[in-house]
Amino acid sequence: MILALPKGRILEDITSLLPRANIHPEDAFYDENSRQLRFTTNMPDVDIIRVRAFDVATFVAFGVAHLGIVGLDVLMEFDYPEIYVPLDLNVGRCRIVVAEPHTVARSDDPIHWSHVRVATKYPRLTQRHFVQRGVQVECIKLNGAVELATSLGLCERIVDLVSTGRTLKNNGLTEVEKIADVSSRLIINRAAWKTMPQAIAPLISQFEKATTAAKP
Amino acid sequence: MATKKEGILPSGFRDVLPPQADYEAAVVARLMKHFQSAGYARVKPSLMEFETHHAVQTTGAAGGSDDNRLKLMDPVSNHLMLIRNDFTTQVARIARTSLAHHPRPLRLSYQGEALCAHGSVLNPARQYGQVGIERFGNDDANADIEVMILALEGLHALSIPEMTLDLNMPPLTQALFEHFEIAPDVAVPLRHALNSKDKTAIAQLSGKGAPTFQQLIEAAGDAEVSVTRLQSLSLPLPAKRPLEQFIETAERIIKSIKHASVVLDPLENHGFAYHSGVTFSYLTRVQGRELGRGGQYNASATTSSVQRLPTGTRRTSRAPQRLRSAGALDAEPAVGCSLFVDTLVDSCPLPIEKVL
Repeated sequence: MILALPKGRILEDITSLLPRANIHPEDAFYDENSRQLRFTTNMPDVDIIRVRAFDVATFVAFGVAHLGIVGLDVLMEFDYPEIYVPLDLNVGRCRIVVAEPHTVARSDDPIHWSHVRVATKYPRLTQRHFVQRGVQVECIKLNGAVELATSLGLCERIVDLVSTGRTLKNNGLTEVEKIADVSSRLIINRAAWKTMPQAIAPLISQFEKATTAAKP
Repeated sequence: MATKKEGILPSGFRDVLPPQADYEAAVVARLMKHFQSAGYARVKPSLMEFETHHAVQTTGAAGGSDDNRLKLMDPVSNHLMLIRNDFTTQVARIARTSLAHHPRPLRLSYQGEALCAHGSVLNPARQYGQVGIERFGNDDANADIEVMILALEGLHALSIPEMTLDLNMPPLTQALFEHFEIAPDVAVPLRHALNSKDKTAIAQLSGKGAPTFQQLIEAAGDAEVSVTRLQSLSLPLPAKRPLEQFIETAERIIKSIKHASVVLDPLENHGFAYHSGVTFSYLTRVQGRELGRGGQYNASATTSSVQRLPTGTRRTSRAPQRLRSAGALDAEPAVGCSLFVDTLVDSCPLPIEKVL
């Protein structure tokens, strides 16, 4: 079985969770300079792959990875029907928000929006959010450094993840609307859950125990 | 004229070349022979129907099917007509009209191509082959089991390895929604949460029903374990009967099944739009894909007085065609199963000589 883990933001939280779930990856996994992509673990039939967060969802949805850990933001963006989300791991907490420059926010009230142009890594999630609000939206898809979009004049608003809010502040931005709270979730491929319940169920409970143990 | 940028064919379509085309035909023929030898007579439904007729053929727990059908304006009648995206509703229409006078149970089989308006990210194909059976007349567990086992034996004859039969019960969800008075605006996200086993979202959305939904999700899994867990649950009164029916079918399947493992997941409702009883799907571990699906539904006649097809199309079935007034028969229980040709071809390990 293959467990897909995301690079970046939440990997640190996850690496502290793995030993508590009794999954011990080989040493190379903890070596940031390692170019290895697939890692063995103490469990002979469980391997780990380390990929970009969006790709975790894709690998698991297509069933080539059987389970994975990914933020709710990614799940909301893709909304794959083939993914089960049985467990909130309570790590990687943050929120997905609409933000705009302080200067704009001073005289702007989101209630009066009828058309907005937004730069984001999450065009589908953004589209859905604004459609529900009855606001016409144009999304500009970026793959990172979304905060630059407003300072360089690409558009006036962004939709992005915020944890402490420091990056927003440093770029002269203010949060004006929260779309959702985000945390990391254990995800399982539907066909894997159905065709190998004896192997999947114990892994879910291992993660469940690790999550409960982590709660203060 | 299409430019290079658009490709040769519209997205989601492809040509099948030799020898794959022969292989695909052999797989389909093998299954049709299997179904016909069990008494399921072949019908060939019309490719197109009027929109008004198609919509009301089948009713069930979740109501209405996903509107993923390609629609065209019929230049002859000036009415909207659509290309089938599923055979079940069409075969149900035939059973309720042209073949309404036939004694029950009525057993029909079919094969052919269906068309979706949109593909998905996971499966971009818009044209796909179906092979299947529909059985009209009884709603007891015998009918469910006959269809489930017959289709499974067909898959086994193709030597498809490591199969799982997944059993679900959409009416149970419906009964619980009514009992716990789930508001219509919550029903959609709650169904989504149940289908993705998202316990956090279920807890947020289902109010006082949360413990019941959680228990049913926890009870899902390997059939032998799951039956015991489900039997120990104490559900609200309206949900008791659907659960009992589900457990009865599950127990009988566990006893009679030979070529697949069984998983019970009563609350899942993956694409079962019009079903009114136990539903099921076949999966294979090797491809991690769905081989086919089916279940119990109510086949009803159309509301119009005369069944009409767009001019120039005709229905071929073994029975003499005859138009009859609908409404003469109320909805009748039916069980059906459709197998997906693309997945079968990818999952069948046999060389073509062995398939035939």
